[in-house]
Amino acid sequence: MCVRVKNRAESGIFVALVVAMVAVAVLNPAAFFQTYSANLWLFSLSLIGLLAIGETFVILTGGIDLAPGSIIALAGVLDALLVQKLAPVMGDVPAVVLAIALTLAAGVGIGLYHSFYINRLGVPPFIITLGTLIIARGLAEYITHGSIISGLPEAFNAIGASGNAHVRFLPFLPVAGVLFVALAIVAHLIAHHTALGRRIYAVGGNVEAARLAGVNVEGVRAFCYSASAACAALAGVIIASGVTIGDPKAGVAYELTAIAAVVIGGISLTGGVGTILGAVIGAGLMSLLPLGLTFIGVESWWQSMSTGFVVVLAVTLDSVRRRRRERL
Amino acid sequence: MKLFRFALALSLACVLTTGCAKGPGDNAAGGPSGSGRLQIAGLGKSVHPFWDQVEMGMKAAAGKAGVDVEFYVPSKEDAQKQAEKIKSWVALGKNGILFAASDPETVGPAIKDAIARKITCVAMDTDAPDSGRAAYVGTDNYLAGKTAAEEMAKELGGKGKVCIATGSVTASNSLERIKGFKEVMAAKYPGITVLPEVLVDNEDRAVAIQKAKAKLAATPDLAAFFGVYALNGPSCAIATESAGRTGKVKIVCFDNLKEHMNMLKQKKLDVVIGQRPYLMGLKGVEVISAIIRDGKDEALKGMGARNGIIDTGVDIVRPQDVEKYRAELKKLGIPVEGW
Repeated sequence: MCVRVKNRAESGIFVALVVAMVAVAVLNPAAFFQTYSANLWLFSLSLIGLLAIGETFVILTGGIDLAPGSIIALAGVLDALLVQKLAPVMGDVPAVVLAIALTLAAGVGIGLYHSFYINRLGVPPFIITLGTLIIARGLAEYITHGSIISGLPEAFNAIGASGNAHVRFLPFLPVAGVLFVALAIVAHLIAHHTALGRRIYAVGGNVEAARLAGVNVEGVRAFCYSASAACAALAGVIIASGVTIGDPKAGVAYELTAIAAVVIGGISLTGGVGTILGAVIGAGLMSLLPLGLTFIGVESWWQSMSTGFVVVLAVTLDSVRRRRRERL
Repeated sequence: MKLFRFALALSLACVLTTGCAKGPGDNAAGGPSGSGRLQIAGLGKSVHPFWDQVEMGMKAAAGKAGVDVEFYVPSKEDAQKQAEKIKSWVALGKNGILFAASDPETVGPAIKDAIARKITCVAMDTDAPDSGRAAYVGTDNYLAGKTAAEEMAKELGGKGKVCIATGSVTASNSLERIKGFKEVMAAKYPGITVLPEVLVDNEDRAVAIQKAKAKLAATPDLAAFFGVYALNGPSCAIATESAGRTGKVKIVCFDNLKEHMNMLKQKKLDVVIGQRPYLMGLKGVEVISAIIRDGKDEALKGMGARNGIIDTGVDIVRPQDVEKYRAELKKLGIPVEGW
């Protein structure tokens, strides 16, 4: 067991995460050790983690999804709009539930649309999802006419609440955190303990070999892109709920944070290599960074740069380690 | 489809003929065109109630000054589109342009071109000094930052830790406000510490709230937030409420949108600093007409400009002043919606 843990791809990034945690805890223990901070971190981790899990499925097949940031905006606006229209008709709580369900379905729809273009029309994933990156944000802006959707009922705030005043479950566990943990477990089981998971790795490792082996490549892609878009839609719902506003400006560049989390989590951009656990740890580091730097009181100029440095450092260490292992 | 093409051809023809008939530069003397009245165009940044108020101010001034005004605002911030609009106004032979550049670098050349064709250009809301504009009408953000500091000092009784939250650390309006704020604090209030780390959210509301929450967790003795951009005040208020520290952590912030006014009524915000878009439109048209009539130096002196800047000032509103403020706005004919 010990040997296995040592050799796992995630161990390096896990050490980095622990080092970062210890650093923040030592430099500002009063801020770090309180349930409020744990709640903040978990909320932020849940959002980045959700996107990272979706992105992991896509990247494992050798693809890329650039759309999540804009899907966040579109989903948040759509969710808010539906609640606004439905709540007077059917009551607040049913309206919120139905709106979330419809928004997630729309997310799956976007994923199916991506995979259709990739499978049937041979459009590269980079291009078709880049298209959505632009179109989905434009659509969100069109729906709101550049403004925001506000004045939503309190029930809308249930799924995205964080901080002391709104805690529904455990003192440090936001609702989004519960959803994220559940989804992470499901994703782990799918990726590492099902036939579908093995097929995803097969597609990412070698498409032609997978096809010859009888893998339904199209179906695998449809699942992965839908999962990614649905995860982004869920993140959009949570973000909109957290601020009780549908905002077309939400989520700008979140896909890059998610991709960074995935990459530092040891998932290869060429496909076929990496684990859900790695993505989750990567998300842990990417969410701890801005929070921890604020706790330490680092100036904002350095905050944005340090995120870039960490990505470069983590990936460099990882590839150095990999090479050394290959040589052995 | 045919109808559409016909309409397109017709409109194109119209544009071409008017363009040729007048030709850019025919109004070089700044003289009145067609209707015999001065033609002044206003350019906003993005669709928002703020720009509606600017337009109202422009129209109010137009009625008094006997000029024709036209107002255009892109659906979202788009400096390229603004530059194109300015070029088309140059072609149409407008006499004056009152503009708020989303990006002075991109819009600047079009303004320079307009000035070269003797069109009077005045910046509003966001200054663009390098464009060669005749004047700037708007909030003197440096002075507004100083005012914010004075109000903050009153709220804090002269002591405590203050954190600044903003949407941008590159935009000049944000930098000027912060500069004025810090200068007053450093010079007059030794008991107030402005924390060196400025919270920056790039106008992402979720990030703004998250950072304010983190700052609250990191600083148990935080006394106040200074919200520089419109969404900072409400974001800090949401964070403060979630930390259960509403009232203990004071919030002094810019802008008086309905969100701010409602939070002010609920005492989640302590001081709101409102800009005066209506006055920007009004004084903008006035100064352009005056420059065309009397020349630049005379006009600026008459309008009380300082270094080419006509400060429209700010409104300071506290929870107890909300009703009085509403009455004042109504007197100006500014619609009060949602609060």
